[in-house]
Amino acid sequence: MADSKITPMPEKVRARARACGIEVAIEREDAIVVGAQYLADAARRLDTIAANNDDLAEPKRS
Amino acid sequence: MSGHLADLSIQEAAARLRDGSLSCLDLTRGHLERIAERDRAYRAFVYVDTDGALAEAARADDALRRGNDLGPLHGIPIAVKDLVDTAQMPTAYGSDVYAGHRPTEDADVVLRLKAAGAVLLGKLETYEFAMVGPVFDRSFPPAANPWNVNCTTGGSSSGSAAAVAGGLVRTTIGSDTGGSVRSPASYCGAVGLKPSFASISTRGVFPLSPSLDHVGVISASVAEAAITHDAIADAAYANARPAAASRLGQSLSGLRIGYARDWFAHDAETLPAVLEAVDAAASVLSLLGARIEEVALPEAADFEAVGAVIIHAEAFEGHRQQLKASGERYSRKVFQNIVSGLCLTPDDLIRAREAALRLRATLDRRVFSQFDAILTATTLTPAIPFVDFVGEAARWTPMRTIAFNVTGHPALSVPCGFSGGLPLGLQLVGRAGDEAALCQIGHAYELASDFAASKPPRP
Repeated sequence: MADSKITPMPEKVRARARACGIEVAIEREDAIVVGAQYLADAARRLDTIAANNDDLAEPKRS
Repeated sequence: MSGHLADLSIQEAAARLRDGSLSCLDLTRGHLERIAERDRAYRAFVYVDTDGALAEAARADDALRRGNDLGPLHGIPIAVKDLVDTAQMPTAYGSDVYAGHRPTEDADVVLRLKAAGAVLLGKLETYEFAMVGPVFDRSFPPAANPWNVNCTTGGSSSGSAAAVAGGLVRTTIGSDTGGSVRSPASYCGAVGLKPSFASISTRGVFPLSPSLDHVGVISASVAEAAITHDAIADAAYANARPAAASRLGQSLSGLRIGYARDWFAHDAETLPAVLEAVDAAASVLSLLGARIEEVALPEAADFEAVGAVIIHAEAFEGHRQQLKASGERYSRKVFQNIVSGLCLTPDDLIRAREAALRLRATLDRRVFSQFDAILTATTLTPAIPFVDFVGEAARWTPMRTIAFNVTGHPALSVPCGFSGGLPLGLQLVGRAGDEAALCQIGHAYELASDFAASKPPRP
């Protein structure tokens, strides 16, 4: 399993795809790495969600 | 009353089918004629079942003559997203991987439609596996937006929205995992209802992300969306709650609506016209008797992070074997998008599901304890030109929809204006199980504004 807390590099994406038996053409790797990086950032954000929710402001009248 | 049979609302057609001034067969022929006349421009249908539809319509006429009235959808033409299994029609899930595939069984939602007496016209274009689009390297093109055929419909229920907006059919079935019913409805000037999680069976609908997948409805009006929803909701769900159509026409007096204005107003991608349109809608709802107060929601980016992790982790696992066997037959962007999920771990998915539960609890505790509904935007811009999607990377269109796939609350998109000749949509979000309040509010707004009744230029 890849560690999403470490920046995915093309080599990591390639190795993980190979381990899953999925053929990734070289010209597709860059787009996959960009997507994987976005998802790694999203996974990191999960840790902050509990704290964010405790800070919700009370409703205000418009 | 409109001149062409395809322009009759479900309620108008139902009344005429029962007073004998119209037959199901003629109503169906009217729709088939309209599809033949217009769909060359819209490409909403990937398959039209002319013979099957006419046979079903004849059976519906016969049943009505014998006094066997199956309810509001009896004899009403309807079409289904091509992500949904139909035993009598090909079902390719929007992908060349499944070209020519014919399921052996109907999906539960199709069985519900048949039991309700609806007439299935055919299958509607979908983004490939409901994942990402539009793409241009499949063997068939994406549906076009009837308001401007050079623009995308949004997706993934692209054909459903195009078919309704283009006047081909009044009501359709779609699916919504991150906004796939509501965003195309918003872009095309149609009504999109994503009901509460698990209120409609997803059996037989190709899974994208089982934790977030919802069957939904795209229709020409809120009332027609409510009627369609009530016909396909699971019996156990429907029996325990008021029908979506049960409060249509009731006053909004006494209802409290939280306006999540800050949730989209300060996003750099929000077009000023969208903010103006939703602000104006808030004023209309206030004039209709609802009490409007601004409300704060958890950051949109929190919901989007949770949704992205769940969708990509589940989609990758769901497609893993197929990617191995036939990855080269996926369109390029869909392949890349699904494969990017390989970086996620099982622990990421567990944490994302826990965060989703927390966000849902937060909305229930902090928002729905005080408000009957939330008002916000659906999409932050009008429809985007196809040419903007031609590049290598997938482009995500700015919207505020995935939050309610994450929390499972019902959400409704209703047309609320135009910008540059293209429709805009507002979004109403309700308590879990309270589709009735959403449809009550949406219907009242629709009657007080004329946006849902506006028609695109003829192709």
